[in-house]
Amino acid sequence: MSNPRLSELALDGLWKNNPALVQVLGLCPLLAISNTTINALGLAIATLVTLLVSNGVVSLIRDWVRAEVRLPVYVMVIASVVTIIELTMNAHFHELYNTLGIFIPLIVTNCIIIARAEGFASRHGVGVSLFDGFVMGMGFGLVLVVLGAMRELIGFGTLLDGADQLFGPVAVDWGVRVLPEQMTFLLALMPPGAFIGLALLVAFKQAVDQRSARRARAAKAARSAEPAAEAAG
Amino acid sequence: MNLEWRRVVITAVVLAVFFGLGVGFVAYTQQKTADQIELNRQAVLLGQIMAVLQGEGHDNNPAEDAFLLPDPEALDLGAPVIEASAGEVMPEALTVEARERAMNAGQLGFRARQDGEVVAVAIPVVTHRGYSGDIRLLVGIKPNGELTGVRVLEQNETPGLGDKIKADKTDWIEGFAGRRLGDPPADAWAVKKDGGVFDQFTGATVSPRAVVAAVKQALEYAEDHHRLLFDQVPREEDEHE
Repeated sequence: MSNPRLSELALDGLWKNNPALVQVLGLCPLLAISNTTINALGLAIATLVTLLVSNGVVSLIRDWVRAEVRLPVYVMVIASVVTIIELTMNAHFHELYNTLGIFIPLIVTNCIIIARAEGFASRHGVGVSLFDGFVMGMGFGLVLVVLGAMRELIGFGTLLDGADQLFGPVAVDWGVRVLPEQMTFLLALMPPGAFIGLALLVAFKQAVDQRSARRARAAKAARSAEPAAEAAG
Repeated sequence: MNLEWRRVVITAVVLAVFFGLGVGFVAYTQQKTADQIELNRQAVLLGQIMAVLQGEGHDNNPAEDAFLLPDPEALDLGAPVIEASAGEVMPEALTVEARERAMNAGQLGFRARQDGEVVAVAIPVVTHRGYSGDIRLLVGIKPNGELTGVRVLEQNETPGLGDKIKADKTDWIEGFAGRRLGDPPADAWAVKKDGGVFDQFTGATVSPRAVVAAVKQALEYAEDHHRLLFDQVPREEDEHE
């Protein structure tokens, strides 16, 4: 199969076919862990690394895996990668590991990972597969972080609170209070806040897409109208 | 037929090789990280115990001076996972596996000693009366029944309301230090709304009420099991020496 262009892949992962906003995959970790920016960032990085490694490995072994057993092998690859990430986080980012808790193993069940393994990496070379894993991970991660920032801002009135869990002691002062505590809105932190926040993001993307589609139509109409106008003049 | 079998065997071998590789990588990582993970767990545990003891002078490492809690049901910790003469048994006398089981079930208490004398114990207690799920506390108690401090180990209370019981949100939980059964008197061991002396939070009474009741429960437990908790000489160490 011919390799798609990298710019198209990037646009696909980040916007047109965004895993969270368009494919709506991996909602369980997305909604559960997006209550603060740092939690969201932690899970985003873990998911990105999982996607990168699993796409890379699946692409590497694609010629040796027979079609009949490819799914069990992919599941095996993903489960191993996630377990290794979980152990590494437990050893080196213990506090964050305690916060993200059960959601790290749950990355295994994030459909976006098996979807990219089966749908892309098993049919493409290592280079593009890694790139695809990267942009898909970024697409998922960006939505996660934006949602996390929205919920933290509205629910706690802070941003980047607890950054030291992820970045170590240098980041102790990174957290800033943007809104006074009396102005926070608890609902944003609760499960309904996650759904409402995600819905707003999906709606935003739809609105942007429709607007650019309308503009494109208008531009086309204007172009086809011009020769007619000249002829009349 | 022969060809069919060949395919089956090759497929099975491929599958087995990949599974072997996967297991190998995971086992290798597990081995490489096990020590660090154990260190982290110990550090977290020690940090919690130290927070509860609040500077109560001691010269041992309480995280390593663990003991099986007698009658864990009295602290709502569930049925005993280790069948032994609890309290009398030093965890060193247990198998590694049994120790791990007791640890995971949260049925271990910890002793702080000065010159071998127990100056305080840190014991866990669970309450099912939280607003959302169980609240697990660690309570530090001196032999005279005085509280050294209380910390929340696990909770799932509403952020911004019930989670003010956590020490990193407000200093409400510091209000227990120095209290004991009788100070305040038994009927005032409650939040103010229930006629007691402890504050509740605006909009959140359930969580502090549950914590106050659990701390009282731990104090009563310590009184009932005073001998097993405090009058323990480090028998194992004596045998070694």
